[in-house]
Amino acid sequence: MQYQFTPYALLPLCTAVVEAMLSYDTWRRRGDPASMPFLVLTFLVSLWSFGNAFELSSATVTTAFFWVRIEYFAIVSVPVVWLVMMLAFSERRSTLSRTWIASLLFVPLITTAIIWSSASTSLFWREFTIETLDPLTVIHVQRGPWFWVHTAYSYLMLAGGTFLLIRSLISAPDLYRDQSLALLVGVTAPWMVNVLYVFDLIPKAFPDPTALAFVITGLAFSWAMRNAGLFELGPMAYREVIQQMGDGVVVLDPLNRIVDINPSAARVFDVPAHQLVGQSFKQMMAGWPDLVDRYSDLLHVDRPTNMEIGIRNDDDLLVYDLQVMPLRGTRGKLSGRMLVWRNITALKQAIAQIQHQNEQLENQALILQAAKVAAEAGSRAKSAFLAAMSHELRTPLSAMLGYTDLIQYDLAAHDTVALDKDLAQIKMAGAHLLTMIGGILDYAKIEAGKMRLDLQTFPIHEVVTEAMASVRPLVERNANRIELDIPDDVGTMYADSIKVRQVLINLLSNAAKFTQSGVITLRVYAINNQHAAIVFEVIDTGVGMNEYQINQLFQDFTQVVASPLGHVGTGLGLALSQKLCNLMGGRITVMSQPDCGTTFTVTLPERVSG
Amino acid sequence: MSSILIVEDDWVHRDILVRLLQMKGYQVRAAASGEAAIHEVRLHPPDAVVLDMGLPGISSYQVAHTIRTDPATRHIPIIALTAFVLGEDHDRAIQSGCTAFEIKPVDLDALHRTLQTLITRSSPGIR
Repeated sequence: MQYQFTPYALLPLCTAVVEAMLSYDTWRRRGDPASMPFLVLTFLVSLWSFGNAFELSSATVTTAFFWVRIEYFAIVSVPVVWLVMMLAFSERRSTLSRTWIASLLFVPLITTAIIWSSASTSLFWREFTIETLDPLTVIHVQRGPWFWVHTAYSYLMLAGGTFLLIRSLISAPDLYRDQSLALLVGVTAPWMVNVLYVFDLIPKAFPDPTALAFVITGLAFSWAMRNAGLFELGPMAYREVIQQMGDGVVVLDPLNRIVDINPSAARVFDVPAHQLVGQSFKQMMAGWPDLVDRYSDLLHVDRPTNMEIGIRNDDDLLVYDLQVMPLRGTRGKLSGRMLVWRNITALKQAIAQIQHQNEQLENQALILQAAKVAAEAGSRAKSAFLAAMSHELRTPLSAMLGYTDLIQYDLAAHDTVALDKDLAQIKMAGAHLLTMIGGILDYAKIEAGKMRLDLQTFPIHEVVTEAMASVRPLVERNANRIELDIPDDVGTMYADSIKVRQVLINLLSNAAKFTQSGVITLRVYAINNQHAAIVFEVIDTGVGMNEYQINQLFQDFTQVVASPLGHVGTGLGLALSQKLCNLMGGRITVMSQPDCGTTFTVTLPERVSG
Repeated sequence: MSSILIVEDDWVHRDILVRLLQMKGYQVRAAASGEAAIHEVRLHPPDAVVLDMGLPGISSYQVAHTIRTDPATRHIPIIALTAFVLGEDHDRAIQSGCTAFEIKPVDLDALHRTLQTLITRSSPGIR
């Protein structure tokens, strides 16, 4: 090996060093998806430039020829690596299998074999001479046929790679404009220079500048990689998103043929994505005639359209959100449409469930509100009851205390007549008190559902007579007259006689209290239809009631009319009587007008069921 | 001897009050309603009125107000009687013109003391 130093060798040497540095830099970032081919490329270009530097410094043909052969390791493989890198960049990963790359390397391997085997070298170079143009050594070659095979193949690779890159740059969003520019510069440089060199358009004095051009490529790519995340977030990321997403994506041309389709969408048709490209979308949809009927208009929209589509699948209703977006080229010309669909069945079901739960909650809130109102009303009624009761209980008690005071004076005055009368008053107040407390207990029993009926058959006459007898003193106190209107053959009834009597006494007492110098009539008769009943009417000629008073009448603890002559009432009697009648399957109704008297009608079954 | 008008609709209580106050030495008249009370006050102005606040018909408040606004009777003290012990009853009684307030059942000695105080204070001789 004989060398003579020439300053021209400095240029490829620098190139080699720069490429080696890029190679090292790339190696440090080897995690990037497309960095491996780039690493190989920079390494090969570095090797090429080193070889070139040594070639230029060779003093003999043999030495120069050796380095040229070394250089060709790189020269034959760079186009292949270029193509591989571009494939990786435009993210056709699936095509980057090892066998694929190996088959691409078939022609370069033959070239290498031809170059290194002295017997066949003439196929590549018919003549290989070295010409020393001081201070430069220039190789002069006559090219053989395989050189052109090699060149053609290399250009094919380079052209293929460049095509892939430009295609993906065109489809890349504006976001990547700087990257695109850098990559274009990187792509163009080796092409231009190599064409000029191969066709001897560069002065012979120059060394092969292709490797130098690859420095520009390397730097441009390296910049794009470093500053713009070329291999990290390039256009392939977009493609990856589309490929991986669960939403179906289909791109149609203006004639609604499938231009692109992602795996999610292809799954719907049960056909691999690549077999669907070029098919008519309407034909692919032939399996869903009703969908075509209903929604074929969507394939002709010229503005973004969104629609929910229901598809019946066996017994389930699947709901899809379909978006149709017209795609427009330059000058707004329609270039196709993109369909994106998403299964929102689960979302819809969740929304429906939430709505259902909301309704339930609202209903429950209403029920609670009603219960609260009822509870508050009940609580108010109880409070009113307590207030009324304490007042009512106080009245006979204060009478008893008052007469006790008077009895002391009676005793001191030895007035036995007054003493007798006052003792009778105390007894009456005590009896009244007892009745009231009995009423309260009855009421509490009914409220607690513990009131028992003591059912037996008894003559109606008997009960009526007893009731009349017990209210007679009260009736006569207000100068009233009492009349009984009852058929002799009214017979018996099956009920709780004590409670029937209690109701009658209550109604008759009321009538007596609110009537002055009038007539109180108790009319009894039987009704003999399919619901045999006994009717008791208590008719008075007293003060009567207006409509409002009648409405308040049966409410618990409400005394609607102040008794005109100081008779006490608990406000409990009517409510209690009504409850007792209800308990026996009957009811009390009332008819009245102010100053025209009142009629209470008790209707009880002739035979009360237990 | 001081004269008292008892206004009470319940005859039992009226009977008790009338007789107890007579025992204490008062000259007692009684009315069973508001109308009767107003009539009685004008006819025989008493030294004091004992007024039950639960009258039917003309309300006790109206009775008190009427007595209080008539120049002939406005000086007569009125003692309100009620079984209710709520503060608002008391306030309303005083507002309508009652002078004092006693709660049922009546404590006779307390009523007697109140009557003595009020009658002494309102008697023309002292004023």
